[in-house]
Amino acid sequence: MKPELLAPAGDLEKVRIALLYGADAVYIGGDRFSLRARASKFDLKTIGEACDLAHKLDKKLYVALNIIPHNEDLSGLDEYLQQLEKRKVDAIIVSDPYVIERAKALTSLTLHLSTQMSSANSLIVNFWHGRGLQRVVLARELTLKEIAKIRQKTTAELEVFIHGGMCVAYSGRCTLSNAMSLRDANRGGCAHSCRWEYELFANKTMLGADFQMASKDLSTLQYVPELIAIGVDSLKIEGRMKSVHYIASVVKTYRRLIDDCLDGKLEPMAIYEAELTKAENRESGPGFLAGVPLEEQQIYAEKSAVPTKEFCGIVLAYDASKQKATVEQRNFFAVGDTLEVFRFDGPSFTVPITGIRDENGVELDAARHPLQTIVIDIPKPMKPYYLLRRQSQ
Amino acid sequence: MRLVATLKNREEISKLARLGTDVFLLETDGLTRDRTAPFSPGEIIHLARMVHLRRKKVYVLLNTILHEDDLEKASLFLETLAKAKIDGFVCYDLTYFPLLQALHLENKLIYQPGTYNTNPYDLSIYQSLNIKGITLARELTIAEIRDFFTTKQLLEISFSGHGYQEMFHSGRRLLTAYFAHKGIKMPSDAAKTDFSLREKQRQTEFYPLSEDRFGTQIYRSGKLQSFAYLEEFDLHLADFFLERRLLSDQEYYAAISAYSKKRPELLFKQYPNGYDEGFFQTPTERIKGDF
Repeated sequence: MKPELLAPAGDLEKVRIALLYGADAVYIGGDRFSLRARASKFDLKTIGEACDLAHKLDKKLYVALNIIPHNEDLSGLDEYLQQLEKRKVDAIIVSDPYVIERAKALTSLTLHLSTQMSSANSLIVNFWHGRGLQRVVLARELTLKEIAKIRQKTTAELEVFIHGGMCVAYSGRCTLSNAMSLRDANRGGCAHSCRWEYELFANKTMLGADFQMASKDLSTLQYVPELIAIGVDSLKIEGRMKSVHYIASVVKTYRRLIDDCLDGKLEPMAIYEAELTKAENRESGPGFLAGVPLEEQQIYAEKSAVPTKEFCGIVLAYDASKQKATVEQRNFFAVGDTLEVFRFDGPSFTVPITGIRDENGVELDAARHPLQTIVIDIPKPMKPYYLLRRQSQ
Repeated sequence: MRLVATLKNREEISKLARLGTDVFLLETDGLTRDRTAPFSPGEIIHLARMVHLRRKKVYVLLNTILHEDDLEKASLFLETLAKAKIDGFVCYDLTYFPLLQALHLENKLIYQPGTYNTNPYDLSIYQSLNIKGITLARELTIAEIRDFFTTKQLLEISFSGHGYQEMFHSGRRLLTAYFAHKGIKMPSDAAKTDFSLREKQRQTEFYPLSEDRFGTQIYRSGKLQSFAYLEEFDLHLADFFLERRLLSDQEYYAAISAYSKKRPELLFKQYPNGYDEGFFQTPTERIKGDF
């Protein structure tokens, strides 16, 4: 069975990028009822556009309504649910029993249970499935063996996180941020107190001034073939706040891995791993898939690695007759640089940059201004949403 | 409102009863984490008999997240206790609902997930499951708690209103990992050691931390006390839990007595330090920069 590759997106551009670079479905957080509501670029109109875009590509769009709401958060819920249905959202990702019941009562929306509910066994999966949840996003604390056992005992769709940042606590059970910063972790305000540095005391004697509890990010390339074999329905990438470059790189890598696996053409893992290091990344590990993680999966010092590639720009259009690409610049590059064209529909290739002009045709020696529209000479065919990147300096 | 207190040993039953305990909360050998005093199923059956003879009630605390391999153990445990007339199973994981339902004991389930129970709209769903009750989320303000009181309810509402409140549970063994990282041996008496964390910007606050085979727990730095709200809690709550973790026996006894007699001075005269009102008057921000 071919699992769904599910990617995050923080805005409409990222929805398009995720879908083009290989995601089967994208999940977003709306500006209401979502843990990412604070930074959401998705009002109902934009959600509708994202749905249309996904459906045009024969793909799916899910909307997270995954806060644990207090009384004051629930006004407008009914109308919001109905509006999501009207926009043909493929599923909503929910946590709270009342939100679930209202969605069932008022709409025929497909329901996925969020990982915020820390579902860790087949009984609870079947409980929620029996209450109308088509899919359960499993707790991130499960081993491969546990996932396999759950698979054997349920017909519910199972979704498993395969890549990205992780809560060090059981998701949804943590109020560290509430207690330390008065920010409600379960309502989108998490201050990431678990990523701060602490002093550790034993019976009031300090044992160390560098206690940390942050976990390395999740990266499960080598476990994906087994997750496919187990019959997991959806493989999920975390990171609704991540960049276009990150999403494109991670999605394309896992797309290739899944397809290679199903085609019986798996490459050595180092090849896929090298692709992941091209975008921003932190130290990573397999989480709980191989068992309870020990110190090797905790972060005590270095927190992020320098990406091997720097994201330079995104192609907006290409004039084949003039062999010129219109590009939105993201990071500095100059005439004389060699850029990699990172494509959604084929392998990358490199091009030397021989000329850069601004929109008015004024010649530039370098692209210096993020989001500036520029025109560059590229002799090979280009398409919108190809990404340009260069070796990190 | 019944006062629920954790029992440490058989000899303590009469003491706790005298102090005003209505419900004795028992911890288990394999299904309670961060335990004060675990009992085997046989001991629980025996203790339940003793407590019932005093016309008091017995709850069992089951506060782990159940993984697939725990299901059989949990099921067997509940089956063993099925005839012991346990008055309530205090459960952190809703998986206990189908487990108890299979034994026709779902009406003994008190759903105490720590957080989650944050709005009264959820009540009707839990009522439909025919469970005994729910424990309100620890991060609620008193105004939000009052919202529950004004909602017509057919199931019992409880609150954990005294002592150190857990705010973090990880499946990772963070102390073990840290000691391994530092290349130093975990103290041999780690289980009896009071570990705590201090954050560099919050130098006056110490957050108690414990680790066991289920993972790591971290607690609020202050001890919660609810005396200002006791009258209304008495009217609307079915159960009021007094957390025992990290308190000395004497301080715990003083707290039970103070709540039972509604005389806070019985606690604060001897133990005036370290108490606060938690989130009662301190709302948390919904989203960053919200306020």
